[in-house]
Amino acid sequence: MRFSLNSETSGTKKENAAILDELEMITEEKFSNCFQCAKCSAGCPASEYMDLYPHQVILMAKLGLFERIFESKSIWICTCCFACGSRCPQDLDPARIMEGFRLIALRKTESRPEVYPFKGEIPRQAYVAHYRKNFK
Amino acid sequence: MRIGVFICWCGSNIAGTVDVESLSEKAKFLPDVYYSEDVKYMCSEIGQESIKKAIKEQKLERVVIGSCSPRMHEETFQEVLKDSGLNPYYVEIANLREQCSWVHDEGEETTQKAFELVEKAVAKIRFAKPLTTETLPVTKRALVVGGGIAGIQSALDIAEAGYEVDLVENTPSLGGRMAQLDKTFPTLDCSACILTPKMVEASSHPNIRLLTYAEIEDVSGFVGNFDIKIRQKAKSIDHDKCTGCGDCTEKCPAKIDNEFEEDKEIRKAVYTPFPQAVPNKPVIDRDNCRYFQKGKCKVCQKVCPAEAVDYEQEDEIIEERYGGVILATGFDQLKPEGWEEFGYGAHPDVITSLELERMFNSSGPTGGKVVCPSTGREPKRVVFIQCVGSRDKNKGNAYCSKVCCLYTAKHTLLLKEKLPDTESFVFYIDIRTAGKSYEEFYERARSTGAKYLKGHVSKVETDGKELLVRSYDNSIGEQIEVEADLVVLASAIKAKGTTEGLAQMFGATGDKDGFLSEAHPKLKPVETQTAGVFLAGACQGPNDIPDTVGQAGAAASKIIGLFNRGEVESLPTTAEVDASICSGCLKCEPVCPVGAISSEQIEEKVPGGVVTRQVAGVNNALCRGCGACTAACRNGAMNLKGYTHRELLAEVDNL
Repeated sequence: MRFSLNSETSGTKKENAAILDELEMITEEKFSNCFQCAKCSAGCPASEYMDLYPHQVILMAKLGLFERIFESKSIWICTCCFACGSRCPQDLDPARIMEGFRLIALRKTESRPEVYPFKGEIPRQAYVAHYRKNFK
Repeated sequence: MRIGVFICWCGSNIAGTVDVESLSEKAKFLPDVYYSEDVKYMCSEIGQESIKKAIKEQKLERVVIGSCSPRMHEETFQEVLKDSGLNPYYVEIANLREQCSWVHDEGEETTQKAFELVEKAVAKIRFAKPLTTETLPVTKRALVVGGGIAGIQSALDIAEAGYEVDLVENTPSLGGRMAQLDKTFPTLDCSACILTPKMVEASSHPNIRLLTYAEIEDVSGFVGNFDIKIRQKAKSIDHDKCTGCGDCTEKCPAKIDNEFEEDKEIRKAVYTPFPQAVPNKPVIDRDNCRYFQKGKCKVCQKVCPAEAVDYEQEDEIIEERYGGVILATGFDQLKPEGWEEFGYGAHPDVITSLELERMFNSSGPTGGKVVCPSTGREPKRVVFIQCVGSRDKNKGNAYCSKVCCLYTAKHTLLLKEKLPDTESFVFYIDIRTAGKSYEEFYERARSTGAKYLKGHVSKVETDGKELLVRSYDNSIGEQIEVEADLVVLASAIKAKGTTEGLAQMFGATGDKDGFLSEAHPKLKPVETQTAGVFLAGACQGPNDIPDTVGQAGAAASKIIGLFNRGEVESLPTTAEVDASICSGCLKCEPVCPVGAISSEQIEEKVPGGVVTRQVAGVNNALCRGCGACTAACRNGAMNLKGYTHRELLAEVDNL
């Protein structure tokens, strides 16, 4: 596989900047702090079911590769156990970032049904995430 | 003769593989040995006391110590003997650590080898003669070679201590590499703002004589009294008359690549290197001057209102005696021309970090604007490639250039400031931020938006117009390509080509990469193998400004200490001629690297009268004890004190 960084993926592109702003508002996490030590992925109990590891999700968000994040299963597999956040040396909370992606995905469900893999019901994590939104 | 043998355990360093107790017992039976013992740490105060006690009680006359390398503790033990009233050269060290215990496994053979090393040392010390040193006065004037921040700082420190300093700089101005920088990490101070006051202070300090546009021509002498010839290159401008108005520079028709701007701008043949130059008066670069090359022009002379232009000026040789020297000759940056993978030289938008540095600077070639050189437009996506020629055994250097991680972080920050909408991507192998506040600075660069991607760049592809940077991202685990407008190479810091020849004159040695070697990597970081010659800054290895200034201060304090002491002890282990067997062939004279040997006339009584004949004579003040003459002498008349033929043969016989 190969990915490309160009004017489409640019973080300064309006659309991408808007997603990142929304994410940072929802999660209250500063993505740029991540230095890719991958400790989150190393300790994630659900990682074996994921197609993108938590540290990859964060890097892709920084690079503006949002399409691939929304297409991935990972954001729905994360159970919000917070093992990642309890260990992150940069004091980030990747689980909250996963939640942020789920919330944005759900908000977009009508216009982009392909990102919503659960027919007929909203997944549990989304409810939990909703209540946890301003808990930090 | 009563010899004492002392075997050191060196903790477990020696005792771990050598049976020190049986060794000590066995040593008692060696000829003339009256006493032996083993001590856990011989260099400790307790160990030293036990030697002193044994010397006193056993009436020892000579001492053999089985311990670490004499390089480490020979002086320590010489002091012990001195304190006990013996000649300090009556101690001989058997190197049981580096030459035995560290390189062999535990076993009988190892202990046997250790015994033979002790046996050899005992054999040698039996023939030792007492040696004495003379004290010689120190010339309290220092020489600093190199006018960058390292040289400036050390010159200022010595001058402030009240001693006179000559500061020699090869180019027409002080400043060095630091003058080329726009801002400095991790505080983003403007480089010129913190450097220029120091340049001015150095040039106006009453104790500093500034010699710009000058080179070291020849070095002789030794610590305390180096006789040095300095070539003051002809400036072709009388600096006493010149007012620095700049009319000559303006009118000069020659156009030459400006090295201060990394060849990205032109300069004239009569020039001052940069606006804040010290001294701020021009010189004529004769190699590129139309008058000197073609015999016609003289425009500068015509326009000079002060009549300061002097084509007849000649190089001048300044001879001076110095007590100590600091080498602070700096570094060069690698230009990866011809390296196909990065496209440097092939595409104008691939530049080195120093070229970008000049672009940031408001007096630089673009007036402080960051643009793509090919179009003059602002870049939208800038790719920084780290470790270009560093940590690269294939084409570059095996070592880490130390400063690139931080200056790249600085560049991303400055870029964000100048062009907020421009994205920066940094490809790296590892990020190394060893230094106070450096990790925080890297964090600041990340949080300001620089995107760090772990993986080296395989190729910068170009169709002549566009640039496509190909790499592999270790986090995502996929190949990655970035469409870039500008590619900046964090190119390696390398040793200056001219440093080696200069260092040789001073007897300093270079390492495998061409940087100058310190006498000990940990305990003598600013000393060279030559006494009285010290190092500061990036001539010793890649270095940042804080460490360079630290080294400069350290080197200066060594010089100040030397001058405060006011005298040096001469080397006792110099060559000595046995005139009775010297045939006067003087084969030794040309092999002497310091010119210490010359012919002497002696009078000899022969049957029937007295004849005068030629023999070799050694100047003990100049001799450094290298021993070349002893090997060249056909008669064996030449001996090195402390290492005489008799002593060395005794060692060989016992191996």
